[in-house]
Amino acid sequence: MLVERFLKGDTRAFEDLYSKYYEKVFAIARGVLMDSDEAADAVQEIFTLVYRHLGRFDRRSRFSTWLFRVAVNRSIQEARRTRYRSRTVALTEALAKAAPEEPDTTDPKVQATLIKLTPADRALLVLFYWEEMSLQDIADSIGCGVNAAKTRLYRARERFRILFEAAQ
Amino acid sequence: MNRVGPELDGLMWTLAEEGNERAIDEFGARHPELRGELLHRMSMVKGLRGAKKPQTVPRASIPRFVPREPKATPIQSRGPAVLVGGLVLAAIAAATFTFMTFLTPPVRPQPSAVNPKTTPKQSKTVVPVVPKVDTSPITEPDVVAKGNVSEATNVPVTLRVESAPLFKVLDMISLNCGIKVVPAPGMPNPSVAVDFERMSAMDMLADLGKRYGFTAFDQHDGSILVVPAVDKSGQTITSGDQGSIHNQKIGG
Repeated sequence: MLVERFLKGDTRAFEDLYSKYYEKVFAIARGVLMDSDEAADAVQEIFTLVYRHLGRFDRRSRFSTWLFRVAVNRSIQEARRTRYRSRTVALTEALAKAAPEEPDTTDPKVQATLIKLTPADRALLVLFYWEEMSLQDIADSIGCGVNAAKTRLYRARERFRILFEAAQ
Repeated sequence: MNRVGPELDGLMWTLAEEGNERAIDEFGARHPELRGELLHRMSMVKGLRGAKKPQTVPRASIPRFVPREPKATPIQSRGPAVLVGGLVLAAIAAATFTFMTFLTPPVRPQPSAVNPKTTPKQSKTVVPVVPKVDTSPITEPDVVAKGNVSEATNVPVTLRVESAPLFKVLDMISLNCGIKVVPAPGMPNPSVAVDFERMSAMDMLADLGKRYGFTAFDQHDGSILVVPAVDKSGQTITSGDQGSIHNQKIGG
């Protein structure tokens, strides 16, 4: 409904879309980028893309699926662009940056392991463990079949396990 | 330490993710050696799930959306650097080319194989009969570069002459194959008959040479020199090579 309204020229409808999905998109971006500030910046980029290209949404899938797909791809792209820079940042610094506004109650070893993964692997783990999306939704969000999504998720989890165990 | 089979491995991940205590206990009873590994995975999954921070952006503080100008892609942002790099490379290539051209000595023209002063005298008694010629070159002679005899001599040509002086026939071969056939001084000029069907110039010259006693030499300057196989003293130049094609250079 909101999409239809926006495409018919109601700009307020996009603001509603933005408010409705901001948290979810921010969570995906933060999970992939491992940085709240960069995630907030990426969210603006993602919604700008959606704002400009909503006409391309073919309505064969749900709007949320299409939006998360844009969010995952854009976040991975952004993470790859900043990966080299991130590697030069000390791990403690990175962890401090991850949530400067609140006390971190998460396992620092898990955070450290997630930072070592590739953005694509992080995206899969974030969608599955954080957003608790089904394999079908993950497949739609990363643009592949269910079996491929399952295989990729398995591999990402294995890589996480190896790094996690090595850190112990 | 992933030493379990794929089925057990998958089952352990499922148990770790679903956290069904009864199923976990059953698995532990059935595979006591994997109990530790299962607990380890459960703690890992718990840690992964717990790594998601609670809502960090209160709904009221969601920043206002203002569409941005699209960010330049990495290629676009590197555009000026790529352009400058390309220009530098082009300049280096041009400088190298100029330098190498300057260093390379000019190509000296090949001296002519035939001394102009020794051009054979035209026989006044030739051409009694107008030859009946049937020529059908496959390719236009002009197409063939004159300086490249080896290519020109490979062009198949059909040539039929009932009776004509040898020099006339050599001229016909020259004309039709786009090459220059030069008879050496002292070459006899007998009346010949030819019937060549789709043959190259060198093959025709070889055949004529066998029958009328001469040898064709590729001069590598766009011409073929035809010399008699037997000189005036009656000595054969190379008896075994009569009629064969030589690619050796004569004179110069």
